[in-house]
Amino acid sequence: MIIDCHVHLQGAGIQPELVEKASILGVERLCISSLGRVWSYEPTPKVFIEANNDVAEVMSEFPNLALGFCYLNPVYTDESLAEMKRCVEELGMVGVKLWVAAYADDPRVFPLVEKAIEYRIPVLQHAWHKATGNLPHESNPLHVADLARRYPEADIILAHIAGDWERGIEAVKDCPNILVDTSGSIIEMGMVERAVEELGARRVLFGSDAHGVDLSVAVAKILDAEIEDADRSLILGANMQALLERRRS
Amino acid sequence: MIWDACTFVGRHPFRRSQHHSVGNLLRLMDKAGIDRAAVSPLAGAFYPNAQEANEEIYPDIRKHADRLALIAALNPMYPGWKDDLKRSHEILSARGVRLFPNYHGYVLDLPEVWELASLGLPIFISIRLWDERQHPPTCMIPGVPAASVADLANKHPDTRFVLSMGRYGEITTVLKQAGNIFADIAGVQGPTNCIGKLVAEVGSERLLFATELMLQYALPARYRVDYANLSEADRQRIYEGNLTDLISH
Repeated sequence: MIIDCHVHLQGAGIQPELVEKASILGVERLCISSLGRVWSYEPTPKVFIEANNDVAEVMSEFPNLALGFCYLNPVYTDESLAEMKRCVEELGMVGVKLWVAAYADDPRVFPLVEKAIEYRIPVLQHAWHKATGNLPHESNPLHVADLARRYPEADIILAHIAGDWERGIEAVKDCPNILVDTSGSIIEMGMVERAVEELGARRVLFGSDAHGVDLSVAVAKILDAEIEDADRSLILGANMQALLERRRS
Repeated sequence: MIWDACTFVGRHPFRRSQHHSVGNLLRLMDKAGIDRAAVSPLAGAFYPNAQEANEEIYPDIRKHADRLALIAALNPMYPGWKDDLKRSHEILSARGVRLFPNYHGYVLDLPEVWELASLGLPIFISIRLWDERQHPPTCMIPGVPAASVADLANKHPDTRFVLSMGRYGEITTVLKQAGNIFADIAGVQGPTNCIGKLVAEVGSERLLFATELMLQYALPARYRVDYANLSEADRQRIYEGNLTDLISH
């Protein structure tokens, strides 16, 4: 089974093209969050609640394909905690998505991670180390490593292997509770192989960042990597499936 | 037949990589089902005297003339560039030239570039080598403004230019501005069905299949085209016909 751990809605929904491509490429599950109908770096509760409602709609429309990740803003800690409860307990979402509203090691993130640990759901944390400069409050992999060391029982996904994947891998390799996802537009040769070599295949997850990235590109990056087929299977789906099953166990 | 319009050989300047030789390029082409490739020396971007980079790779390239066509690196700001061009064309059998304007520190609106453009050889312009967010601090090179390629092309309507490593938006904009610009697809990783959408916007007649081996994985480029919603005629043009026409004149 292929599970894409990192997908966003486009506007309020999912394009039929993406559903079609997922089917053709054999991607059976899409872990979907919304960053708002118009992406907002600092979403208000109104914005992230609407975004999560949109995800819930897609989950209803595609119950065998879509798995929901709830988008939260740690700056609004109380509202985010309430929204996580609604999304997980009422809407059946299976993970948390944090973007650029606060650094990953901001104390306002801590209550959300504690709640995610309680629910046994993963936290997908955006991170990038940009030579061109990060956005305000945009995490780099060191912020995520700090969070992971504080909460070793949390399952944290470092999105995009932090873009600068060599740096990202180095930053988190001593944090066994961080998994890295391969999503994003970077398809530099060697990135998947290095992640497997340094972290082990069990800590690498397939992700696309669709709709922004073509799903076929993301799948091919994993298929092209010169790694063992058993490792490829872990990356493409088995690791994410195991992560999701923790919630049910 | 599948023709790759953008490949490089030579050591990565900032990262350990075993994929730098012509032998490895051919192996990776085979693995991705690519028959022939236009190849340039990666060092051509970093040596001010770019001709030295051509000379370095030529002995290995010529052994595989049935599969590899040299697109010679050229720095038109370097003394003796006209002699270099003549040698590349007549002795090294180069089928075109590749410019790295921002690596060699010039803009396209200069007499030397006009003179080069007036000679009629296909001119490949690497507007970037890789994502600017990934650059090391020692080598922060901004992208070449795509509009400057359109300006140059409009001044030289009888010369054909290739926008290399352009993003989706850069390609759609520039191809609409000048009918003598082609674009390789090595830098187009999204959105969903990106090549299908590109063809819908600008047609297939000036799009070139390209991987940017050995900096990028090859299979994502194949999947981008294979899984795009395209007619077989469009696919054939992108895979083979357009580049054949471009460099066989």
